[in-house]
Amino acid sequence: MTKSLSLLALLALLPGCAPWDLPGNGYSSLESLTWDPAVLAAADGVYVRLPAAGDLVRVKPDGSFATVNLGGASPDRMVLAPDDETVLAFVSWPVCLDDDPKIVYVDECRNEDLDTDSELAIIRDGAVVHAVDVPAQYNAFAFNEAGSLAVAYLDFSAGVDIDISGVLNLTEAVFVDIASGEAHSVPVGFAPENVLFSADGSKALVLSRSRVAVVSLVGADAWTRTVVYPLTLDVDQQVDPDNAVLISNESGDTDYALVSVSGQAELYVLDLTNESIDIVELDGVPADLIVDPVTNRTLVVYSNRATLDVLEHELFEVESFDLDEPCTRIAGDDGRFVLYNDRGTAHDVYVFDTEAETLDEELAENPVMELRITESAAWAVATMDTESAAGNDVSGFYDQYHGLGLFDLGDTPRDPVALLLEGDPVGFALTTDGTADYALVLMEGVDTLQKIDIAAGTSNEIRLEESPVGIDAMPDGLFVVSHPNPLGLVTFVDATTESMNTAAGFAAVGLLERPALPRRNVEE
Amino acid sequence: MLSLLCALALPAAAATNELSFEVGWLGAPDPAWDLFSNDNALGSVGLRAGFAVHPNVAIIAGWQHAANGATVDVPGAEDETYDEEDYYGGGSSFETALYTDQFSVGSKADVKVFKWLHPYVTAQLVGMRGLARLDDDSGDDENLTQVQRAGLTGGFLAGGGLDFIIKVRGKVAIAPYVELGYGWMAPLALKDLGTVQFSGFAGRTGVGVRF
Repeated sequence: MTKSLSLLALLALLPGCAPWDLPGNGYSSLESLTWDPAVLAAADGVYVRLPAAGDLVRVKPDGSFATVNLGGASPDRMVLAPDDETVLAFVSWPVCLDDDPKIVYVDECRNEDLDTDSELAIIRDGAVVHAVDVPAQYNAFAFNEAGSLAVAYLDFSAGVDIDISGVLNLTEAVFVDIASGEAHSVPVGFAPENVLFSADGSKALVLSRSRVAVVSLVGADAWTRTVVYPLTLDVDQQVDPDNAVLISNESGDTDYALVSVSGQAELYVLDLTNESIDIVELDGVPADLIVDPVTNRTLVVYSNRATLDVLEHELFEVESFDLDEPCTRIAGDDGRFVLYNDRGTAHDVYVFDTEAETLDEELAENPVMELRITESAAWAVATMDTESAAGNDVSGFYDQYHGLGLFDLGDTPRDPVALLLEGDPVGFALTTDGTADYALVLMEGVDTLQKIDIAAGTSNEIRLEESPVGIDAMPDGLFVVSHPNPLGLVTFVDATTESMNTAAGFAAVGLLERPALPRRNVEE
Repeated sequence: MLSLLCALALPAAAATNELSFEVGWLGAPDPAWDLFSNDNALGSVGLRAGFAVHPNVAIIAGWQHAANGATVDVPGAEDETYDEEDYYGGGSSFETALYTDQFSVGSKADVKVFKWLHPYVTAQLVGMRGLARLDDDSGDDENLTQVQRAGLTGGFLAGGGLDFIIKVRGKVAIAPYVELGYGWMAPLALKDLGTVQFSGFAGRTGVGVRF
């Protein structure tokens, strides 16, 4: 009996291996984000990358969501085409060089046998319509105005890690016909960094480090480099890819390109008809330039010079307008432009009418971070940064807070309005209900969306489920707000009716999937 | 069937009716299980009932329940190559839970070696219902991001064990037992979340009444 009791005691100890587990007593961690809150707001829904699961989901405004079948590949980067309906996604998938059919999962393949393959997936209505062979390192896209053509190239300024597997040709750009999925690699010069399209869509200008290549997009010589404009002889000088514009004549033909070179106080005028280069001397290094289609002139501002230069397009002579403070950015597009400085402590905001040649100076209470113009072109709305408090007066009070500046662009403008914001603005968008313009503002740590009637300067709060991290406009007028929830949370907001719908939990999709080796039977 | 054949070949009668309380383990090598537990096995508790149909054979049926969960840390967005920094403010976490119920039925064939020791073999079919729950704020019942998915799967258990018989009165005995073997379950499909599979070492131990 004693022996039996001892055995009983021994058996009673066996469960000491903790079989009484209850939820919450374990610990685990993921190596990647469950979802990327930088979502793509397309016409058919919001596309969301799920890095941990390696999936792509489409979330619809009704709150439903479904995985986009990428054939086992994971989305690395994606961009929305101008038609708002096509998503271009660089996708990659693991490849096991050991062709043993028993190897099914990634963790069954030896590390030295693991490799990665990639392609560009063209996605429409939640499905891949074309898969295009484009080097995975290419991380930037340019689209023509019609949105029918995409150019993929490598943008070093994006600051991403570039993995060179095999041989990578940095002198090429890949032109992709979005409708057919047809791709054409064109040698354009070392490290292409920006692409401009002519107004008629017949040619593209690819700006690379030291030259500009013209690529024909139509006719017998389509997809070939027809002309190269070498812009710098000094290898230390580089084309400034962000400061280049095309100039079209009244009949719509693109005649010239204006290109600046980093650090140089001059503009290169590329004659696209007669294939020649001229140089316009400036008094400073351009910070921003924009073409005014109304007067067919180009506006240039400088970060270190308080001047607005206006270039006419016949002889490229410069007319200068003095400013009180330098401006680094120009916003607008039809004869009425807003000049501001988003790099320093300058507070001046200028409204320039190109036909009347009037320059109205306004004052932003704090330095401008970002400025946008309403669809009606009646208002400019700017988010403003904090700055060191300059005193105990009202300006000193403003300095302590982020703000929203409302600038009247009408013919008889009212004084600017500076609204104080409770928190750091993490996103803002502009909308209209047909009768009034509104600014939608999100602030860090504040679980409301502020709907601001711009003309009235009044605010209405739309309460959100959680604090937001970003806002995007959908093509149908809805706005999608992202929240920093690890399992996925976005809110679709109709700013007109102030109604909203929430989609939650989509980031859990595929979290339990064991990563398999896809496309094992596909001939490479 | 194996246990039945073994039993028919055995001379000494031992099988009795039984009702037992038991704990069990089933191997969980699937990496997906890591989101629910740091252990390598699914630990469970349950009941087993047996009905003697032959001097050496009993039909047994059992139920095992398990509840496992973990806190899962998610890295912050600054660890990724995104433009939008600090989306997660340096990281966040969510809770997971997996509730499983195993229902088994099979046969058990034993032999009396000593009055107090009855070795046996057993083979059982197992059905499993699983319920996974993911929640970033488990303290809030109305939290929007409560993800819940259920699934069904099946498999088998086979092994051998030892019954330790402690006579109490007449035909009634208390019987601790221990059982080891192999178990295999088809992947438990939890809809769009994915799958979790259990297989490998299986063990059961418990104590019950024989009558």
